[in-house]
Formats: sequence, structure tokens, C-alpha cells
Amino acid sequence: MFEIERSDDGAVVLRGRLDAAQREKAQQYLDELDSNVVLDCRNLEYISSAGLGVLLKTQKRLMAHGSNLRLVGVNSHLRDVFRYSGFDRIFEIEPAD
Amino acid sequence: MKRMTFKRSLDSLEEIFQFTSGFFASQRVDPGLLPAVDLIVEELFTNVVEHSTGEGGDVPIEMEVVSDGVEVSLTDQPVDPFDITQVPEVDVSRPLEERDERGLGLHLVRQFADSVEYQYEYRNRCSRIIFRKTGSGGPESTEPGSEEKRDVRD
Repeated sequence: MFEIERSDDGAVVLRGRLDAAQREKAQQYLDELDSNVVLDCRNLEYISSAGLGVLLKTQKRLMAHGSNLRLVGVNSHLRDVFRYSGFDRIFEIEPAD
Repeated sequence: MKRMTFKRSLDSLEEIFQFTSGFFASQRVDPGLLPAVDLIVEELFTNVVEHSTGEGGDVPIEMEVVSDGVEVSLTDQPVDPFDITQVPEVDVSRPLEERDERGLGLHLVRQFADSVEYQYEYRNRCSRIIFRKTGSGGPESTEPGSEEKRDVRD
């Protein structure tokens, strides 16, 4: 199960598991964004390299226009994935409480 | 040891995750290892699906309890040899504009698995990847990130 939607405060909320079967759904949604975006990852349980590719492609596109993605509420497993992938160098990442 | 076969499609991922989580629960394996095991299995299975030539059938996955963790294998047949342990490392320190959106899968497999072994049986054109994931310090665990290769030639 994977869901992506806007919250009332304007953040993009990710829920569930962003795996290879959900790549297109996530990419289609993020392709519509064109300004600074906060990705609320508090309920994102899992991400694989397919999901990382979606985030990387979106970050490249946004930064080319002076905007970026910021990841908040990142759990410990996701933090490990981001660190091993070098994403902590190219994204602003705020861990979960 | 438990074994299940899965259709060669990304749509199988949900069923695969049910298999891994069911195995962890029934065998009382440390649930803290499950996200890493799911990640490794997904990356290996996705690799099989995306590089499929259309010849192969369903993909068997076997899981076995070892001391302080699990050993998992994926089998792909019939295929040409492709030793994933010999794929060059990805440089994750490169700046954003030089990063590729794909190619991180095997890098993550190396990072999260205790060990990865590749076997190829020429007679049956059968490729088998075995990895082990344990909690740190278990007697069965090997040096993190270590890789082994064993070609089974007839």
C-alpha cells in the first residue's frame, strides 16, 4: 500500500511503502510540483532504490529552477537508506522525533 | 526452510513482502531485520524482472533461519551468467547533477547484507543469489559487505 497526497498545510504526505511497483504513481504526482516542497515521511515505512530514483529525479528538476525537496519525519530505516545512498548530501533531511 | 515461487512481475512484490513478514513472524526472527531483508529481496527480484529476456518462469525464493538472522536465496532460470558481486561500486559522493536515477539497487544490497554469494550452474543456465542478514555480532555473521562468488561448472 502506498499513498501520496497534499495535507492542509501544503506538505506532500507519503504513506506506506514506496517500492518498485509504486514508482510510477509517486513520480506522476511529484512531476506536477514546481516549487519548494516538504515531503512528510512520518508514515512512510519503507523505500527502495526505485523510490530513491523518484526523489532524485524530482530534486534534480526542482533545483534546476531554484526550488527543492525537504524530507521531514524520516524514520531510522529510511535514514540508513538515505545515508548509504549519499542522499544526506543532496537532500535536507529532518529525522522523526 | 520455506520456499515460495513468484510470478516474474513487479506486481509480485506485495506477495513477496507477505512471504517475508510471515516467515519472520512464524520463525520468530528479530523483526528489526525485516526492512533490510525486504529491501535486499526487492532489489534482487526487481533486477531479475527488469533484466528478464522473456524465457524465464516463476522465481523461487527460499528463506532459512540461521543463528541471529536469516539466509535468503533467489533463483533465476534459464539465464546467462551475471555475477552481481562483480558490478562496479556506485560513487554516492557525486553531486546531484552527476547522480544517476537508477543503479543504486545493488549498492544497497551490498550495504545492507552481511554477505552476498553468487552461484551459476552452466548445465541448467541457473543463476542463484544467496544473501545473509543477521543482527550484529552473531556467530554465523560474516564481515558486513563481504561478497563471495562460487561458479558451479559441470
